[in-house]
Amino acid sequence: MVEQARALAERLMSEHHDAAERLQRAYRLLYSREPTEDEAQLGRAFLTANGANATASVDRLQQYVHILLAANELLYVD
Amino acid sequence: MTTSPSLPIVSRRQMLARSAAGFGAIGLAGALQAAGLLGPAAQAAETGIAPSQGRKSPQPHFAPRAKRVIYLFMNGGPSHVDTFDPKPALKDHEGKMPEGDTMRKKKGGFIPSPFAFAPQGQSGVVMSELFPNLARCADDLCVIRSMHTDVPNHEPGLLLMHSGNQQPIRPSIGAWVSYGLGTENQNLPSFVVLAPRKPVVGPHLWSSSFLPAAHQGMSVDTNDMQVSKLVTNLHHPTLSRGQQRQQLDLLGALNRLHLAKRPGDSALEAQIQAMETAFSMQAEAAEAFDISREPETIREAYGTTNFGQQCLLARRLCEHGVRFVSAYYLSKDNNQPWDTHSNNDDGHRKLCADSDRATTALLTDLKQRGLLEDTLVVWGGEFGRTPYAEPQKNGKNGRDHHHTGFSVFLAGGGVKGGLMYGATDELGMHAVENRVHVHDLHATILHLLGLDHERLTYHYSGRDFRLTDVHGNVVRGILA
Repeated sequence: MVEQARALAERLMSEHHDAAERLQRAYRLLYSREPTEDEAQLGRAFLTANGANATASVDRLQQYVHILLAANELLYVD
Repeated sequence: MTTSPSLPIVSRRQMLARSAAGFGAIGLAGALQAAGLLGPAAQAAETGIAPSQGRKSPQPHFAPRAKRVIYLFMNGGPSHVDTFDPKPALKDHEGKMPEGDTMRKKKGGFIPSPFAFAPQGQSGVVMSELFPNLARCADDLCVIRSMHTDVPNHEPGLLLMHSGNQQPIRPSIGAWVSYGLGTENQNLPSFVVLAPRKPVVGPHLWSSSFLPAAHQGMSVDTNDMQVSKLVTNLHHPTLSRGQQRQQLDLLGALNRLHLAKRPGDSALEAQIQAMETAFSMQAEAAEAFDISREPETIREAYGTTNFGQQCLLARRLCEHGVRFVSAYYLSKDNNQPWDTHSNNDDGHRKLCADSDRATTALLTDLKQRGLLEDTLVVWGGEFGRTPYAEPQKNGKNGRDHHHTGFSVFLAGGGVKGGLMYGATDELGMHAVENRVHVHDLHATILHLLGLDHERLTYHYSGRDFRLTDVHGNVVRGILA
């Protein structure tokens, strides 16, 4: 999981320079949909927590997409 | 009735489940209609009845005598006539063939036990010389000599002993207890299973079946007792606990948004809970599962065998508030070592020596810590073994499966110590006095835990289910 999250984070970093676009792209890749406003807000808050620069840190982005990979939406099929 | 696409009355998964459960295509309209009419009620049943959902501990029906259970399972079926049920008459009938349908094909004549029996302790509970240590605990033991079960075969016998049903379709007793009483410890699972390999039948023995998934037994491979091997991923490779906490908060928030659109789905709720438990387990399990923290004298007392170590771990887990611990007696090369079809006597010598030491250490240790009072220890297998021989060409005769009379013993947790309850006939063939069926044993275990086996129900597939189905009587005669 940690390695998969790393690979996805690195891909998002290389494909998009804007934090919001990366977040949107992650939702499209993993869930085939746009994030809701609540979800986007949670994502922004996580990426900028502890005074982090949302666009600079691949480590923080990795921790974020790790959670998207571990979420029920990905684990369970409706 | 709502028609919002984000609030499906029947989800795709439920749809498949219901289809698979027997609705043919022709019944589809009816099924959908029924779902529309019955959907809300069924949902309430699925979430509302589960007392332990969200791990808030439900209350027992009445004051419990036992708060937790350690079930020591002797896989394969120990021989009652060589352990706790002396039958001197077998000597007089040696070589005579048993009468009637014994359900076993390779029948030999009766064979006496080669082991000497003697009363032990103040109470005079009788056991064979194979239990020299357990003899010191005689006054704590409640030996039931009149057990009987429905079949002399391992798989259905194991399933019946674990779930009250011969087919693998019902929750395990540990899952029922977890459902009925919840956990004493928010950071550890309420039902833990210790085994060095898979027993016969395997994971269904600790299944939650139709009960909410949180009550499933957590199985732990005890081949390597190093705590990092027992419980994998105890430490995150790079992140700190604080960083993990932030991740988990995000995960919880996202999963709750997801769940809000799918109300009443117990699997999704269980997964949210499982992630939280896993996180808190990382801290607590590192301590609870680590038997290397025990003093050398204690580890020595339990013995260095796998079963000995499992007994020690079981005690630690109980101290940490695990409600139900099952420890399976298995060996690397045998998934049911007590199944002594050949060379019964040597087999029992070896098995009992190990089990005797570990079980005695556990009972003694629990007692010294004041835990035996409210911990119920159960020792037994899925059935007993024949009082007659299973002949072998090399002369090393064995004993076959035997289900119409056998022994188990209980200790602590509100049972009368120093008691021999019930009896088999003079040859150990059939339980004849104060007969105790598996359902009665289950009813009694639940009773000791403060649960009425007739009231501990779960609504599933259109009716209420119980561990004891429509059977079972509490064995009042063994209650302290």
